[in-house]
Amino acid sequence: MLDLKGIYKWVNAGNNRTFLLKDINLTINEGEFVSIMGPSGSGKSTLLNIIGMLDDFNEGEYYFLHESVHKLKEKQRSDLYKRYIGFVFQAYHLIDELTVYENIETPLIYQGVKSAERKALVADILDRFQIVGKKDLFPTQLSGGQQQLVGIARALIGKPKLLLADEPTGNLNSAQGEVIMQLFNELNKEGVTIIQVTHSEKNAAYGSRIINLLDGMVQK
Amino acid sequence: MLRNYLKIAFRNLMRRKLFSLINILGLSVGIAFSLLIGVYIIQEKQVNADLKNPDQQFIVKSDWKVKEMGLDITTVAPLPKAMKEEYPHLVSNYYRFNPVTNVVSAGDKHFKENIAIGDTTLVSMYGFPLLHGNTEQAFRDNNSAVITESMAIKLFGKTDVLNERISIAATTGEQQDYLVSAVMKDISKNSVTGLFGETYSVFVPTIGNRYYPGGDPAVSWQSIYEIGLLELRPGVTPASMEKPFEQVLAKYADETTRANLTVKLAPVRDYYLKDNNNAVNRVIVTLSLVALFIISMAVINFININIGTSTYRLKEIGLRKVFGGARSQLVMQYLTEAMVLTLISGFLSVIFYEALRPFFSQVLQTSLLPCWQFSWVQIGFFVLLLLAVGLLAGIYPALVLSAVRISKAVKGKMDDSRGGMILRKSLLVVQFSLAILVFICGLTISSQVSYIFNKDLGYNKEQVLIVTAFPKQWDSTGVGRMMAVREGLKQVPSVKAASLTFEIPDRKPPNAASLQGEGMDQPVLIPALNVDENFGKTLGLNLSAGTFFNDKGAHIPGQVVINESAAKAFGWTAETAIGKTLKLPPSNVLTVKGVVKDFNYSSFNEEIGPLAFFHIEDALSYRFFAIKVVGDDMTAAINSVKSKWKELLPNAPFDYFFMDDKFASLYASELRLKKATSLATVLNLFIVFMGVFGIISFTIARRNREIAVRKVLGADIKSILLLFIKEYAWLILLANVIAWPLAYWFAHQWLQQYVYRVQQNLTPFFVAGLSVFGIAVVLIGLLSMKPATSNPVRNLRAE
Repeated sequence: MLDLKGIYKWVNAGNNRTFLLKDINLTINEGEFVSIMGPSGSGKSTLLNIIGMLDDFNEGEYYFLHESVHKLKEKQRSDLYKRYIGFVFQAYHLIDELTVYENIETPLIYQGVKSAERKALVADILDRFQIVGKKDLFPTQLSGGQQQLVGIARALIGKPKLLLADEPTGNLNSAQGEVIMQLFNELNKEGVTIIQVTHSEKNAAYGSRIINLLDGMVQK
Repeated sequence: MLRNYLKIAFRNLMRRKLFSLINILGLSVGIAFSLLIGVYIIQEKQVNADLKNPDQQFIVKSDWKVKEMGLDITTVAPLPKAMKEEYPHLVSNYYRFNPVTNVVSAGDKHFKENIAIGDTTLVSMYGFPLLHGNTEQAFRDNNSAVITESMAIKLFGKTDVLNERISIAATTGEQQDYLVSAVMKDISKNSVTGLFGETYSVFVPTIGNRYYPGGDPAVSWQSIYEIGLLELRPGVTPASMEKPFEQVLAKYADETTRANLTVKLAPVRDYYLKDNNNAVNRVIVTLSLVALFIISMAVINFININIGTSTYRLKEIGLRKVFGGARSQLVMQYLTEAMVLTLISGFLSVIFYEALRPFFSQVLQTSLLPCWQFSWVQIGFFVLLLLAVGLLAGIYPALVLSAVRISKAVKGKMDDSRGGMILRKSLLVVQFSLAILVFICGLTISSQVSYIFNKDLGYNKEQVLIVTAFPKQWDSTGVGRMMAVREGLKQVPSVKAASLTFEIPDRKPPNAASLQGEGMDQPVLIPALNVDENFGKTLGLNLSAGTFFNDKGAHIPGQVVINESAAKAFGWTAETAIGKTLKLPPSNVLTVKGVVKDFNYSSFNEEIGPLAFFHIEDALSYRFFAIKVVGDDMTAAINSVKSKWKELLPNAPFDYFFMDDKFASLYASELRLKKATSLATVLNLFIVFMGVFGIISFTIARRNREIAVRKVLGADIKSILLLFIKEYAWLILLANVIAWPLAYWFAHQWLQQYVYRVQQNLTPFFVAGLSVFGIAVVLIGLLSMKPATSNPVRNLRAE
């Protein structure tokens, strides 16, 4: 599904060049459930952002569904991830001013989906995640676990092929975390490719493959 | 405690420089504007307050059954004196004067001056301060003159000029000599010596006066053009004077006067404010409203920005509460901050005041006091204004923020962000509405003003030089001499036409003639002006029929020219009017020689009515030469006219103005209002958009995360910009909905005073609405460009 070849990312601080990622070579196939692990500052989130095309890299090649991402223009890249990638964040990042329903609907608006179709899609997913009763509430009125459910629903509404999750259970208690991981498992079985960043061995165990990062390099 | 508050206040101001700057700038502009207007209003209200016993001083006005019978500002000449003599227990004093303009000379110096031929009670009755002379007896005898300080300097180069000789040219062609018996300090604006806007500088006794052929103008009960003033005894009301006036008129006045005249007393105290259909009061009210608008805009900005940025402060508030701060203490702290900010703005506003003072003095046609000459009253008002603004701006944020519950405050979350949002948006709508309202009104005023200056008046005011005709010898010899001067002036190459006239088109002629048309059984009162046969040509009047008197050849007595309205009033058309006769009591018969098209002989507030032109050689009185000059070099043209004048009339001052300037001066208050509203519009927009700038800045700062999330979810720059623009577009739309009807109403009210006015159309409304919208879009676009284009990852990570 995606191929990273010799990816480097660095920042210049004065004369020193600090490498965030060094020579990452990675292939992820469709249907995989990959966990990226490593200590703080090892470059996990940076790698995830690069895969999600939210961040640039300084060197290397990145192929996503056979498109060479490093050659794409900003606009084409954004079209690409809009269509194929869903994001889930540790801090949920729901929009406080919008209701649950509106939060989930937002990506569809940006993808130009018609109103009637949006309604049907959002209704489906609310139903599936059993949060129909909460659709008119604002994020601040929900518990953390519920907010993350909404966050995942929002990530999935556009039917992405790839789900990127940055410590999705980091702000949740273990019972809530369990629910989320179960959900990921199910999604994976339905064919969604998932890449998650996690600190937890237990969560990592849900995945089919673990990538360990240390100081920006993949540990073999 | 206060020191602690002050310290915190200053730190907060320093920390949030942008918002402090917006607040201080907005408030100081608002305060400076209010200060300028406030000082202006205080000065205007102060007019006449310096007179002695100002509340007992009254002007004797006339209410004639038929308006054309007399002037409302003048009275029957001997009436005030008779009132004092017959009712000494009601009337304590009187002053009358006959206002004239003529040449005052001392040695070889000749000046055109306004001269008041009046009673010798002037100084003692009004308490005008004297520099030299005896206050109790300012006029020693009937050959004494009282002059003002600046007049003394003009004539003699010094103020101590007692017993110096001055001479005044009379309409008889003679000179009358006077000895100066007192020099008055220059008189501040008042409604006695400045009753109709002109200021008087030379005062001579009416008894023994030889200005008119008949002698003292104040003795005849037939003369109705004397200005009369009374000082009533304390406690006597104008209403209680009604009967005495009737009785005195019944005793002395003739039948016609008795039947048609009702005497009215107008207080001198507020005459200046109420004169001319409340003109000054209206300006005061308009300007106060504008100042109020501007200052409330600044206060709203302060409230909006303070509540909007309060999240920065909530944690601090929560902690203060945790450590035992009472709510009242927190309120005090916030108020202190608002006060500190207002004081800084107040200080700045004084600087603005001084910087803007010359400009405003010019716009308002007055001289505003410099701030170092403020009286204690004015300083008091200023301090009160500052306190009020500080309190208004500070109290709401103080109460709201101090009421936030501790648990929420410590987390930095407002109790109800939606509630605050609604308030903020309503305040914004108020601001936008006010800005648009003032904008539309300003545009309407501009369009009426340009209508006034561009309308076809029916005469041509361009390049017409008006020179005061001296000497004023109002008999056939004098007129003959002036006609010769006119012919001399015509020889100047740049002079195309010249006319000797009593009136120019700057007012409705105050003298009306009772004319009875051929075949009519009733005479009509028609305002009449005395002009010569060149008047029509010089001012470019359009003839409908006939000729303007006998324009080729010698004067034929007994001819009259009328305007179309007059022809209509007699039941004729322009064509049929020619050759018809008009009876003028007692026994004159005039023949209509020409009919001119109606023209705007007075201001646009008055409808064009019937008008009759008498020939100056029949009427024998004149005031001006109207001279039409041609060519591009006006200075050279004036100079050549002037040198010819000096040659023809070596002893007469060359005192001139241009007809178009005179015309413009009729609309001074309109021009003033136009400038004031344009300035107010700019200031309003400046303050509103500064506020919007502040609000958008902090909303964007707060919504950085949201923008980032939206971008991650696939939003492009356009949709982010739209997100913000949409929010404000609704507010502006709503503001337009509120402002338009109000603006229509205000503009309609204002336009009502003009008989000739523009029709309101939608242009000003759209211009105002769309420009506000346009500026808002550009501003929002610029501000939200940065977060909309920045990398979302950075903003998400900051969480």
